Amino acid sequence: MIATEAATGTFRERPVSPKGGSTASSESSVEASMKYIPQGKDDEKELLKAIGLKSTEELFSNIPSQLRIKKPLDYPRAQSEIEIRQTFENLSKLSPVPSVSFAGCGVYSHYIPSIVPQIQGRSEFATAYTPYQPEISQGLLQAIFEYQTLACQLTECELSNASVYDGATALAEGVLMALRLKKKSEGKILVSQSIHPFYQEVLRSYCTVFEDRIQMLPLEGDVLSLKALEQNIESADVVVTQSPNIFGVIENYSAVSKLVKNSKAFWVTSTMEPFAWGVLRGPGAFGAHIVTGEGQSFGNAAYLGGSSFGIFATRNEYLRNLPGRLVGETVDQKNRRSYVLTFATREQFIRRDKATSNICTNQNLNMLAGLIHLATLGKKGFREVAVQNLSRSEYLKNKIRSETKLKVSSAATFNEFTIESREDASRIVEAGTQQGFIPGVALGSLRSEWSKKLSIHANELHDLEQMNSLVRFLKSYE
Amino acid sequence: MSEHKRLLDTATGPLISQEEPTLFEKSHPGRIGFSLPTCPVPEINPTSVIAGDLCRGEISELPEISENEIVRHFVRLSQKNYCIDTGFYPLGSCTMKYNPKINEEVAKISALATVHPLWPEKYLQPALAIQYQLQGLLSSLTGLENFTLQPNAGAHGEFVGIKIMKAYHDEKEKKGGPKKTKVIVPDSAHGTNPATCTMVGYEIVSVPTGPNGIVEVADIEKILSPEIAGIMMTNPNTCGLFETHIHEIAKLIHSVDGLFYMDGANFNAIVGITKPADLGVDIMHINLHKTFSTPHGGGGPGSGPVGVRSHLKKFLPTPLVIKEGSQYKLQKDLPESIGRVSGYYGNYSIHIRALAYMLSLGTIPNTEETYVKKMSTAAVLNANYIRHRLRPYFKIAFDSICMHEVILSDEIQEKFGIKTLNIAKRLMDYGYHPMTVYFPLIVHGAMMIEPTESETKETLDQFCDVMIEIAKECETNPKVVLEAPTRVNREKIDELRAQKQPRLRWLPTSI
Repeated sequence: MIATEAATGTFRERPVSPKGGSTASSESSVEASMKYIPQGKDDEKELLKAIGLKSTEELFSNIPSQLRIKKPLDYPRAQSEIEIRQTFENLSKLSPVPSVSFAGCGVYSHYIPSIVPQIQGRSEFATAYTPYQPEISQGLLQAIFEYQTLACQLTECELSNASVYDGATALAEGVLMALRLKKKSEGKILVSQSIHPFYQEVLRSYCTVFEDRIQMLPLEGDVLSLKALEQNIESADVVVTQSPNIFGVIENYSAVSKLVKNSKAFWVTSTMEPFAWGVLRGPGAFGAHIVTGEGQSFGNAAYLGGSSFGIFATRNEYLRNLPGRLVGETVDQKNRRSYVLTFATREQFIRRDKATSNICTNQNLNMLAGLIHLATLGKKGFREVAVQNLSRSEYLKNKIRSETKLKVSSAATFNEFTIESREDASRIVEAGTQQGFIPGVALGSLRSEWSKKLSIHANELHDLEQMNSLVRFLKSYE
Repeated sequence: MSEHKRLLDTATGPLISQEEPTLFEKSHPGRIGFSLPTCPVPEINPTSVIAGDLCRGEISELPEISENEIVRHFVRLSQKNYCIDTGFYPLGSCTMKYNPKINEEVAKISALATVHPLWPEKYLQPALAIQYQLQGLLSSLTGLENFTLQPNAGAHGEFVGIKIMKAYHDEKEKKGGPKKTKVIVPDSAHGTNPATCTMVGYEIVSVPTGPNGIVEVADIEKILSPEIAGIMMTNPNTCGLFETHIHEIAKLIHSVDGLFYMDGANFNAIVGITKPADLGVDIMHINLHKTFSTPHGGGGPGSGPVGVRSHLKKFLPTPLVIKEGSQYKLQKDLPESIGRVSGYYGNYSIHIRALAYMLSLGTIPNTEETYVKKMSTAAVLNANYIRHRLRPYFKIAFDSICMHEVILSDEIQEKFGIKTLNIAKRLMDYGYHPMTVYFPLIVHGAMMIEPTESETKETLDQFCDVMIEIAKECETNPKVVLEAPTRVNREKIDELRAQKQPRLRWLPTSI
């Protein structure tokens, strides 16, 4: 049986036997409409009569009869609103809720100001379609325009699109764009081994056509080996880096920048934690050609890693190669400032098989949450969140270093860092969950050779007691 | 400028909301819109732990605005949009149905929203249970045994589906099978279809739409060859018609060991009526943000689950959500998988909403009928009613019983110098969002109208009355149609200027 099972069990029972043995293929005998489907039996009759049909069956006369569903669907009973609420309340209790979590690694549970969900949830934003009709979509268009501006300011780039799916696909789209710009060339795609393994996997899925050109750059400690980059850069078309990287470590973009500038390679960067830009220069400032990032930290709850949004920024000169939607400022007939989706000739609905990407729907509402969050923080708040994150993470790092026997990396980090134990880090996580909290992410779950590493993230929500408890807990490990 | 005119021009507020400055123009030094607890640990100066040449201080360009002003800013922006909750949205191919509010509420349950993807599996049970159940319901409705929820949108689902097609053929090719290089795509397809094939490395073979708006078997036979990897077909198609020969076409495709990919963008017309697997479909994506009512969000997030027949399961993206005993698990050991296609496990926040919707539309008490079938039937009936009412005034592109949408052409109105775009813009003056225009490309001045099942007969009648009135205006007073819109927030927007003088971010100099 492939049908759903109501996890709750409460609403699982199969439908009781039908009245008068009617079958699903005969005309609907259903009298009542339901609250999402206003068309009742009387409406149905009236509409059928107007178009000259006898039954709703005739509407489907173009579907050969043998291809139509004859047997009742294996489908659970319809639930009322009260039951739906109960079902999801019950589902939410299938796992305990940890008292505190130090998990990061690409998804960060920052504080979301109350105005974010209130505004993001407004019907006018949530239930609108893509703003293809600018005269009646100025609000959405202006919001996207403001987001594009903020994304440029944070990344220190000239140009940003309206967002893509997430950080991982943004990076993959970035590499595809770089390859388009280098189309006649057959050079290597150098990918730092310090990039989140999931991002690497997505990159490979997107770049199967170019798979033999991908070359991994080894690590030196917890950072990209600059020596390896230097040795290989001459043969490269694209260089791909991430900072802070999977270990939370800040890569030396000054050094990478010098190497890239002396080569013909395009430099594509990824950032999983964009709050790092509150203390770090944007990758654009180092001359990165394409800057991508995960936007989840801005205004979006963890939600198992989705939905969130991907940041995608570059230089003006590559405008026509940019994937995804773009909003521009213009005027209307009365010379009023107006916004409109623009440079659509790059996109699939115009260019079809010659488009810069197949992307259509993106992550507008998640981007909007990010925009509102950034607007509330503003100049001072953005800096303060970043400095508080850095300070708490440094506090935790120093305390673990001085009070436990665990090895703490000495490399510079932002709001997450890794510690190394003699035993499997997944055991530390397991022990933490026995006490009802999550001490971090065992990096062995991402790559087996990192099984001794535990990634720990601290942000503005972690209070002193929670951090001190973590250190006390870690004292029993070495 | 006189003070009087300045005040009128800059007037804001719910009733006359006209102009709203950008965030950056509203900025005032020293204002803040946030509050954080005092840092409980010693504050670190970034340059003391990070190399100085990598550091930066405050970003001077970021705006400084108080909370009240931020709220007003965004509320005012929101008011300058059309949305489903304010009115009928006849956008063809987009399935703009009502987005139930309970779905929004359950999606916000804290224990569901805060699940971190890298927590141990025993903490992921609510999320994985939701995904597992959603997969099961999609299987029930499509007959396709296995689903992935990882794709973040329809086009992303297409990408996954065609990659699975390629993985299937690559495996055969390694064992000496023929090289497959081409995918058949009907000329009425969405732009994403050909764009997807190119992304995966396939060539497109276009097949024409027949005179009745559907693909003819003979046209497939003509282009069938051993190089054909498969077909990508939207069904019901973008002409709003069911591909009556789909089963025979599937047989032909299978005869050259091709795979049948069905684009499920228009699934809303046939849910509970027919199962794609019974039609011969091997791979299919579904747009949860269309058929299963999750909000479009002004352009996302969407979700594009992909279903496959069991022999293709091994190619699905990593990981799969499975159930062992009473535990939900992530199956990661999938050596033949096409790999990972998004950062984590898809747009789970959308999966919650879609599941809530699908459970609401279950089997009707005391019957064997389902509300999902009722949904499709009502959507199709509504579309046919519009077709019937507008037929005397507009050319119907394919005038036979349609599925969930009807396509008009501007051929009649063109005689009066009116084009589809003018009609679309005139609709705004009457308070409606325009229909989808100039798609499908094969219809002259196409106007694609999809009413969905959400609308009452009264709404449909009112919309048709307006369309008929516009048809009359085209004859008697074409000027008002040509000048439209004149009653909404903006009049004709200079799209050319946006391209000729690109301003793609705010800068302190005014336009």
